Amino acid sequence: MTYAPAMTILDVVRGDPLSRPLSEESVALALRTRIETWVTTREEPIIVRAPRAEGAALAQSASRVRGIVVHELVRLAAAGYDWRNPAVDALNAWRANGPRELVEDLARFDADERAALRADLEAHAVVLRRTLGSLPPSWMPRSAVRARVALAGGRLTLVDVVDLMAGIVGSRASVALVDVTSSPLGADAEDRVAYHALVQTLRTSRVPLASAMVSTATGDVLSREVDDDVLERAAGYVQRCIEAT
Amino acid sequence: MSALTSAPLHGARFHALLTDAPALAPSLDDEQRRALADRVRSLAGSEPRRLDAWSVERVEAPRSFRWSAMNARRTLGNAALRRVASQHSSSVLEAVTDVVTDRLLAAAAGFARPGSLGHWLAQLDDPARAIVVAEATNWATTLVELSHDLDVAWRPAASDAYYALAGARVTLRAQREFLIDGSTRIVVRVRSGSPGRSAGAGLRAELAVETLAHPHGDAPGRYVGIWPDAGLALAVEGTLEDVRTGARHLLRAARRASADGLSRAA
Repeated sequence: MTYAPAMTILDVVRGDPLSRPLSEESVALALRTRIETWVTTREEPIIVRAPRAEGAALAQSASRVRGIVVHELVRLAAAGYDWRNPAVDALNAWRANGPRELVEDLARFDADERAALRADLEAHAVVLRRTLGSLPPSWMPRSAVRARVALAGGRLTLVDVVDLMAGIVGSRASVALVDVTSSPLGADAEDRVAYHALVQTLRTSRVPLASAMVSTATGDVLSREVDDDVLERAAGYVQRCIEAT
Repeated sequence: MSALTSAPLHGARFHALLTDAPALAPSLDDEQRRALADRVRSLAGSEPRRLDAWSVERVEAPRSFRWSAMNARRTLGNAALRRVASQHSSSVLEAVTDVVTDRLLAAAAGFARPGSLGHWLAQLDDPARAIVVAEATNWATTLVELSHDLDVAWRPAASDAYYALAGARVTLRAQREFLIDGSTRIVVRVRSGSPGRSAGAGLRAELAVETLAHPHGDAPGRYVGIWPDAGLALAVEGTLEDVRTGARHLLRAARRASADGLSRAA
């Protein structure tokens, strides 16, 4: 099984370090002020999350296992762990730290289902390894980075989890956000990439450098340098969520 | 009691929280410490107990403790920050890995007691331990990122602040990550998630413990809580009224813990 993208995801998102834009705090302040005006008359607290990745709503055990394994593999890669047997290593990691429910699901699989799942997981792992490449510790990779930004005195909360983050907040935009999905990239991938950038901007008061999404099903990568258009798109998504609530 | 001050992380208001603390912070004398110990002792049960901001803020009875990647990350991540700050490690990931290795070596040498972090780490297989490293690396990287933004001279706290109440089998704890030694002492602690409604009570309880634990009973000029997930900082001033309010919160927590213990026994 081979898959060879031309560049790793971090090559894609890091851009040219010499031409990175300044990270203006005023952008976050203006966004915060504008978004808060949309909820001034709301009494019930509203919680907004990233749009679901295509296929994430599938409740089938195999899909859930695949999603969990891929995310555990991202975590292992961020910790510098060189997995040999991706399905077993990821499931062992999950077993030790996650809920028991999935382990019980797996126990119900018959031998054929297990073999098919293992082959599927290994294919995803190959794509993931090629796409991530090696993550140098100097880039400060971290995984499953959570955010919970409260606006307008708690009337609106933006919740997010970014699968992989590299770079550190500084005077120049240098943080890259990577979302990894085990499903093909769907129509909402653009919104998802933009939403991660918006929440990171509001959380740190600094605009990140880039936001990207990777599919381990197809190897497709969607990468965006974070600019006004990206943040505007995310603000539009948040506004739609508020209006729909 | 002073008002709870809030500021978004980064920027002028955040910087002011770390620099413009009251110049003269009050002290608790031995008599005041004894009075608090007497009141807690009257509530203490037979079991040793630890009270901290979490005990003050919690709304549910505590569950029995089990190590996990999530609750191990602060211990490992803070130790990693100290390694990075003292330039013993070249990267955060290396620092965390070194800290975990130290714990494993201690466990292998028989220095880790059952139930300790080192003992638990030694029982994990490699992938599970890597997730612990990933979680601790997240925490330590957040601290390093914050340290760049503190924009004042700081040092990592060597440990949390502890104050054992004599004869009460109760130990008070205040969590702290950074210490800022300017014209007055400022203590910074970092928490995950977002601050709840009782975050001010938790901060004042930690202010009280920090004051009690100081060799001369000196209150810090300010106690700052940072919630990086929420991009928010809250602070309380080190006034005598705030210290007393914090002590009252701890007493309430002791009373509640005592009632929980009695209901469990029944």
